[in-house]
Amino acid sequence: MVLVEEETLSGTHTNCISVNDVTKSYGKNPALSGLSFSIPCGEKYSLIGPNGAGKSTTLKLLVGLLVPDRGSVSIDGIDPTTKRAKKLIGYLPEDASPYNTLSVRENLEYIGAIREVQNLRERVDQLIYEMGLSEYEKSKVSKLSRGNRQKLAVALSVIHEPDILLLDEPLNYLDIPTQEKTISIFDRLNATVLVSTHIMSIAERLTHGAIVISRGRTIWDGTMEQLKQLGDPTEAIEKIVMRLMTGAAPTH
Amino acid sequence: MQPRLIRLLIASRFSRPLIGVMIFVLVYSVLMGFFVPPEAVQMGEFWTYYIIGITAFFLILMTMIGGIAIMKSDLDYLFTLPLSRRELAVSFYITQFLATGISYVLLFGYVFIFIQGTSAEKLMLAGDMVLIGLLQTALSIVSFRLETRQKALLAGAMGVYALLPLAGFSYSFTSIFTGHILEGTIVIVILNVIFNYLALTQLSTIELGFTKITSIRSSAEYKTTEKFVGLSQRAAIVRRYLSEISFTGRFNLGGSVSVRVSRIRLRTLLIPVAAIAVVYGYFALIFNPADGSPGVAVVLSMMYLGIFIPMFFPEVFSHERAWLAFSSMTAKNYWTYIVYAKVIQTFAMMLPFIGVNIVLAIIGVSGAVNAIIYLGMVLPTSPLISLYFSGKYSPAQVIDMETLPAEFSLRQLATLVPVIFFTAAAIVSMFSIILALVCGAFFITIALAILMGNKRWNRIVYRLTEKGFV
Ligand SMILES: Nc1ncnc2c1ncn2[C@@H]1O[C@H](COP(=O)(O)OP(=O)(O)OP(=O)(O)O)[C@@H](O)[C@H]1O
Ligand SMILES: [Mg+2]
Repeated sequence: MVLVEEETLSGTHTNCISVNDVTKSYGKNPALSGLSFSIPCGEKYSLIGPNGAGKSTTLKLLVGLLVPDRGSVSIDGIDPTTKRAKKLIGYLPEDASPYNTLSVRENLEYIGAIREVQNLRERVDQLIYEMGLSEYEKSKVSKLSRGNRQKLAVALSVIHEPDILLLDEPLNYLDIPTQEKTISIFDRLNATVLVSTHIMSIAERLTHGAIVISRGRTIWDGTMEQLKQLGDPTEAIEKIVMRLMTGAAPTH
Repeated sequence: MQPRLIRLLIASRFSRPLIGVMIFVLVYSVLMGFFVPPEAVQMGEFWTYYIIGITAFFLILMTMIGGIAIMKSDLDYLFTLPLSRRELAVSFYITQFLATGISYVLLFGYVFIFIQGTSAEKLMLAGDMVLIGLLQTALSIVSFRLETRQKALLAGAMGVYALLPLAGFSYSFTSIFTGHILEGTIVIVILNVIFNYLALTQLSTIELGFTKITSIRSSAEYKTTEKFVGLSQRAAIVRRYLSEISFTGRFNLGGSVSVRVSRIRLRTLLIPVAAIAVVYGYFALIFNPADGSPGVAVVLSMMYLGIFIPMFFPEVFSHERAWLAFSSMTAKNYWTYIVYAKVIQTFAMMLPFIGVNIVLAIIGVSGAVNAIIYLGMVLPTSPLISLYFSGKYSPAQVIDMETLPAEFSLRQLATLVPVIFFTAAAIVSMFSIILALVCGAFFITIALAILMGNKRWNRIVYRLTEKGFV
């Protein structure tokens, strides 16, 4: 981490996440059309936008599960499909489903082994304990409740202590104590963070910056403070975001 | 009876082109049964063994992988509608028949070519085949709630019972093929009454039991656990994939999409495989023609391995998780290690057959050397070719184990195209040892070509993701 910060200060490359003029369609169905933004190393941003805006697609491009039709994305200045980028990234998709054919502990051990995590046994014990999964460690994942499955997914996404976190609705299904626990686990990593969410209170808890997108384009970015200042002091942040989003819709 | 309900169920499960092909094959089979003379197909007395073997095989398969063609949307929407339970049960039974039992009825033509007897007997036999199809349907439904051990017991009992007529026993459902049509028919009717009664009872309470089924069927914890701590990337992937075996249930034109993955240690798997290999050896020895041409038992067995073995692999990937696998490792390495594990698994499964064939070759059974080449060179490439093919053309992901991913469609059958190549290779290999070697070299070359190239595997990952694979 220290190294990254030094690099940031000396300006070798300041952006850990960058998306440059990216266009991506699924068949004929456009998802992103000329999306650009970047996130400096160590910063935490929310990716906010209406349903179908392209948030999940953006994250999949950044993990290297998709490739842009046009434009480019980079993680710490490199292509996300490379080995080095993969070591840096921790990714949690929306409605994450761990391996159904493995138990809770086997899931963590398997991904830990593939990620070449040092002191894997201790790390797995710690995550199982922290996420409150001790009584389920031998359970088949297919028999877990939705919330417990999400806890396991969170643990899997941080098992290698990533420097860059890409999270898609990370707190879905979790009860309130687990939400707090999860937030503290994410915070402890001191990572560069990009969180896709609809829930403004979660955005405010996890991040200090926001990127608002709609129809596959960036329509606003800045700090949470700046976002609040767009409205009057009594106005709820949801209202402000709503105005931004509806303002972005084409006016026929 | 509600024709609209049945239409809805069929339309939500089978795509139109698939229904078209099913009808075509049925008509083709019936016409063939009436017009192809038995002399045109050289099977001799092996025919009886063949049809009885196939019947036993179908019943075992349906019992073992049985499941009910219920989709998530049925649970969420259909079962909440005020429909009579009986109508629902009957409608589900009909779709279930189209998904499972019909595969047996499609054999009709092949059976009719060889059957001799009066027209009354032939008519009775035709009816019996439909009834066996219904029995197959009932077994697939009944076995749904059974635990694996109970299923295996039921499947084993049906299999043994089906094979008994080969030992001269005439009170089995398959004795209709050994000249005891009346006795066989009586048994078929009795079995149908019992199992269809159970099946319909089960279907009429299905929505109540659904959540219970998942807990009855298997325990919440695994009995054996795998340890991955301290393993390298390759060792971890190989350990996992060696202990997991999947089978594509898209095995017939009924398109029963059943993507099953079981965890079974390789050692355990080798026991039944070795038993089958010994049975194979016995028949190869008995049906060894004097003229030096490969015997019908060798040819058919290799063909069936060519059909069967590649079907273990198209769905290997359906339980993968792209977000875990490909965010941890490069796509090429991950795929390569899976293929590595599956090639080892295939080789291990082929070893008993190779061993038996070596003995047969020493005895002088014709076709045994060709079989060794086929088993050792051609079939072990099938994991790679099948996996690549399904990844490229029809990737499916199973998120929820208990419900079907989607409707049955022709596109899903596309994953079975490699089966055609491997079956064809089995036949070609039987012509001469040189041809067998050429086949081996050809398949190995193709496999290596697929394995090379980083970009190819990344493209598959993009494609999977675009198809909604997470
Ligand atoms: N696998 C897919 N196949 C086809 N189209 C897709 C696929 N995934 C997303 N899309 C389309 O791409 C667009 C962007 O989808 P995306 O999932 O990125 O939106 P999102 O911002 O994450 O929405 P939500 O808030 O609902 O999660 C949508 O129009 C969607 O219909
Ligand atoms: Mg989304």
